[in-house]
Amino acid sequence: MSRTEDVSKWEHLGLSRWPFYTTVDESSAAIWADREEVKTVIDRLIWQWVRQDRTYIHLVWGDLGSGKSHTLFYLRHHFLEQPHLGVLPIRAVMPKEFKGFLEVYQAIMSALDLDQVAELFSHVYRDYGSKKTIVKDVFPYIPDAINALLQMRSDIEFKKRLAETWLRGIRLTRSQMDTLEISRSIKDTDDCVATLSGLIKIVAASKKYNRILIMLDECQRTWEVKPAINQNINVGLQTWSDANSNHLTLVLAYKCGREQDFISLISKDIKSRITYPTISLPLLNSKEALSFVRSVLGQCSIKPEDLSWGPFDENMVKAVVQHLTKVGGTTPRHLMTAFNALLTEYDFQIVNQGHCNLTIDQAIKIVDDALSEPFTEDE
Amino acid sequence: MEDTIYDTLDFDSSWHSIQRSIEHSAAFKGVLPPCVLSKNYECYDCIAAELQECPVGSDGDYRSYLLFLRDSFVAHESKRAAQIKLLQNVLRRHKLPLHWEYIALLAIKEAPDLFVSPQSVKGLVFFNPDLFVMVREGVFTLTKY
Repeated sequence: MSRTEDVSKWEHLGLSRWPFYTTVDESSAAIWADREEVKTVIDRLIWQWVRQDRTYIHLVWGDLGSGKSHTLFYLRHHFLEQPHLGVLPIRAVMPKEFKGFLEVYQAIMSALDLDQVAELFSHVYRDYGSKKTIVKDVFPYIPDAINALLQMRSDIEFKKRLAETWLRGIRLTRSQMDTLEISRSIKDTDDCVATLSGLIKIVAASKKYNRILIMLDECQRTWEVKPAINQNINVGLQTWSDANSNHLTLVLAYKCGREQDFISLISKDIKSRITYPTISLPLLNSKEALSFVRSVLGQCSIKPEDLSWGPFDENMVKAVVQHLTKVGGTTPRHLMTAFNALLTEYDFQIVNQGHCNLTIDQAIKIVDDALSEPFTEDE
Repeated sequence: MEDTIYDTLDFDSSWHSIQRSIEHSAAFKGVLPPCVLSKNYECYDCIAAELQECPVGSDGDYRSYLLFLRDSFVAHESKRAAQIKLLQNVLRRHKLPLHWEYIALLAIKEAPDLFVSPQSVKGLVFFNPDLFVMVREGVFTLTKY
């Protein structure tokens, strides 16, 4: 359901917009429901990143559907909405399959707006005055990156696209590289780290931004490859953070069922460089889940100051939440899916019958159906 | 009448054959001749029932040896069941596939006495395809959550 829908569309539910979404996207990025402790941690981190120049590595941990990706979207939205804070946020997703740091580099570069970087580069280039100086200060290991960034400002679209492709770590043919006056491809961890480090320096020197925030989602995928490959990625990340002692924040989001497991699986190299606290998103207990639902409804209510339960009966919400949290708690995704199904039924009944007369048992049945597993082979 | 091959076998040869079968059953199936567990020496459904003089019944040391084989089997099976249960719990908690070396890391951290080495975890996940499914090379998940 789109957030841009007309308010009157959901007026009969007492809502200004549809509150329960089942996929993470930009439209819901501004919403933060409950999890006050996590919000406090995030606010403190944001404050720290803006106040200080030093480089940070932070970890986000949570179970499936606990809100890791939403947290990253929220951070991204926060800095995009407040450009005066001088933080350029990038959210990238760890590739599903990879053989080394090159693929992680490609994922980060795919998420980066290279036109924007090229524009920042042109300002920095002017300030430096000569190519020799900028090569020495920014790209000493990979001077070809300067040519690629200069070509990004070219009027010839073909050259621009080639330069973009090269910067994204995709191999070009010899003749294509000759067109760009580039001698070699970005092919190993050192090349990737050198290019990324140079880009951080450009962003930091641009006067528009003081920090680049790289958020890498789905980092648990590094546990789905051989430890040797994981080690290569960790070496890349740590070399990158070491090469940029300032202006970089690296947020790594991991899905893991238990915090102890997560701590065991994180490599020593990363562990020794992370800045605490870690952003932990554990399961919600019934009290937190109730507060979560109320918070979401409140933020989408026609009257935001009204702390009611939207179209729902309070006892019904409590019964559904109790049902969902009876085995060790629940996740925001489960709550969203469950209440999305329930609100859809309310919407249908109110629009077609003028009222909704769902009983608690019927509500629980709807919720169970919405959360039931897809068909398995046994069935 | 011509002798059959069975008639020409002497007692020792027959006994060796039966002995191997009895020891195999004890060591790999946990099954013992009834006389080892019961003092009533119920021989009627025993593999050695046809023998005129059964060394199992008459040799206390041999019975002890068979009990040792059976107990070793039971201990191994119990340990294996516990190992598999732990590996399943690790994957159930994680919900997503994991490389076997990370499964081993978590399992050994949780129960260091249960596994000799990460390689023993590898063996268990590789050779139990009814429980663990390999989604990519070396990466496993549960067949059923």
